[in-house]
Amino acid sequence: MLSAQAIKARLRMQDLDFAVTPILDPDQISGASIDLRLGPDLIVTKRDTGALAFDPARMEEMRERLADYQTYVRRPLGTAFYLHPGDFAIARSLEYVTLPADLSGQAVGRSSWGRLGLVIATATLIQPNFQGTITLELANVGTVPLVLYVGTRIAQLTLEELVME
Amino acid sequence: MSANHQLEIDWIRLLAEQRLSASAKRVAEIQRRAQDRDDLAGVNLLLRMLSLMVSRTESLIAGSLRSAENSQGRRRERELDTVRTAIVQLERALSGTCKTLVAPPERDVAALIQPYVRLAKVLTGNEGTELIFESDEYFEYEVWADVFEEIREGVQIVAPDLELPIDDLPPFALITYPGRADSETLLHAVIAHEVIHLGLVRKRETGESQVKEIFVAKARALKGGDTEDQDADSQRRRRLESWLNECLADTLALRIIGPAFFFALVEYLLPTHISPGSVGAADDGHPSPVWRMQRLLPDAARFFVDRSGKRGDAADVYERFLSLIPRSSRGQDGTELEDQELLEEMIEEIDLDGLAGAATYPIDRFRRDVPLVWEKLEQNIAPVERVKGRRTGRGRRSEDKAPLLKGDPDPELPQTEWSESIDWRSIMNGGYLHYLHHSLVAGSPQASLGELRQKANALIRGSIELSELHRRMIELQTEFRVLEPVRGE
Repeated sequence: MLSAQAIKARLRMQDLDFAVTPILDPDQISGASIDLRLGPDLIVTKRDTGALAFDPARMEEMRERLADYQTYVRRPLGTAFYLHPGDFAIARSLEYVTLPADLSGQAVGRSSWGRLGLVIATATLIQPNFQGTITLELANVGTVPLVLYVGTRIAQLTLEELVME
Repeated sequence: MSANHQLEIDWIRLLAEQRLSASAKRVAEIQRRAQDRDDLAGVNLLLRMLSLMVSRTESLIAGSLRSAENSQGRRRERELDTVRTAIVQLERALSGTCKTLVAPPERDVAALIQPYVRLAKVLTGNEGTELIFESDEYFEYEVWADVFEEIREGVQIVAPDLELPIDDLPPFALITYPGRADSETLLHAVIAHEVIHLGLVRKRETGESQVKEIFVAKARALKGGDTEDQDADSQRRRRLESWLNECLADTLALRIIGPAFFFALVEYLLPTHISPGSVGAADDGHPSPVWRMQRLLPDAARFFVDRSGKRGDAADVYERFLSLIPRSSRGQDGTELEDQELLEEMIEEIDLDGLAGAATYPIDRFRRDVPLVWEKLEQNIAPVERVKGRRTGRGRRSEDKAPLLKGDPDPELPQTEWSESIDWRSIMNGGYLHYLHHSLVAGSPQASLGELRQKANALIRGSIELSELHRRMIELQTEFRVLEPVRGE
């Protein structure tokens, strides 16, 4: 696993094959991870969608019904987004990530948010050569609403070097 | 007062209240829907004025109806007329203004709104300047330089005391762009031309621009043709003035955006404004499209070739792009040629540096940033920030990697700031050149050109959005620390 210093060093290397951008300040990279911020694009689940169940065996129908179930919202930087108990939302990291062939990553929640009931159950493994923003699946499993600001550090990305023979 | 008269007044009061209530609801509804717009500051300014106008109309109507109840004859009729006129004026102002708010900008255009608003503030010399954006069915870019126009007219009737405050309001313009091309971030460099129009209007109003004086002096002796037809003379002068504003907006847009504006203008005009084998036609509003493109060439070339004649990195892309522009000058008659020469003389006399001012995009910044943007795009990295202390120079020496991976701190690295945002115009310019290189020079297969364009637009749009967020976050760094009560691992 890469340490903060190693991450910083690789981000500053001349070869542009690894990027996590933008980084607001060096504090965002500490310990053995890079903090990821909540981006402005969110897909939130609607309430009152009636009797709805997703059956993977009926994929086409499931895709159609997803549109009834989810809605896209965009919140400007610094504005609040409320995640109520039991709510689920799909968000994106603000940072754009490019991984080289010799690095893989894992996006996980920050435990300080976890203690408040926020679970970031993302598809955690980020494959080498990945390019894009990281999808974050947010769920409030606590009992009080959570106020998340766009731009807040919400998750962390750890990086591991691949052993290639 | 007779029972009939009272009944009439009661009826008018009821109807007026219904109409006013509908107007107030309309404003509130638009306000509710506008909350996530990126041009919210401008929208709020407009809605505040409309709300004020609604409340002033309410009090005017209430006062007039009270007076009508206590009056008779012509005075009574006058008061009731005031009520009717006030409602009509309010609704006219409301419908004229609200129609600018019902087609909000698409998600893909949002990234460009704040950069253009900042440019507008600099160009008008007024920090309060706001823009709102509207997608339109026509494939055209336009500016309505004074969105308060309708309100201003309405206010004369319903609240004359508001006239002066309205005159003191900052410049406020509506930018219309082709809705079908909302994801065409590259093409939206043309918006700069419209923002310049707003700047020119404002500078003319405040007397900071000599454009009108130069035009008047040069166009004084202009004749409409061989005859002594005064209408033809004035028509030609009007056309020339309009052409002057268009040419000036092109020249200044190139200075404030860089060559991306030139590329976008050509791509915007080329498919529809120029028929094959001809130069396209000038009209009363705009000069010949080909001439518009050709007259920008010396200014555009300055970005690619320095004063000593040394060619920059992307000169080959620029030269290849020039081959797309028709060279023919057929179709220009004597009067048109004469006007074109006169326009160049006028523009020569105008203080372009003064008009562009702090909005100018420096050529040095172009030369510094574009290679970095290009390099990042080659690696499919969003060109958002310039990482400080990054190793530069061509080729990587093997000894660079080993100590860095061990995490040895570099004593020269800045300890407090990680990076600086890349100017959105550098992203646009570098992105355009990178796209043109792959589509025109590197020879991508025709089938993949559309895909290449789509990818370029998406990456440039996303990069500008992130670079803007980065810039704002650095500005708001202190506030953001406050907004992070949850700290720790």
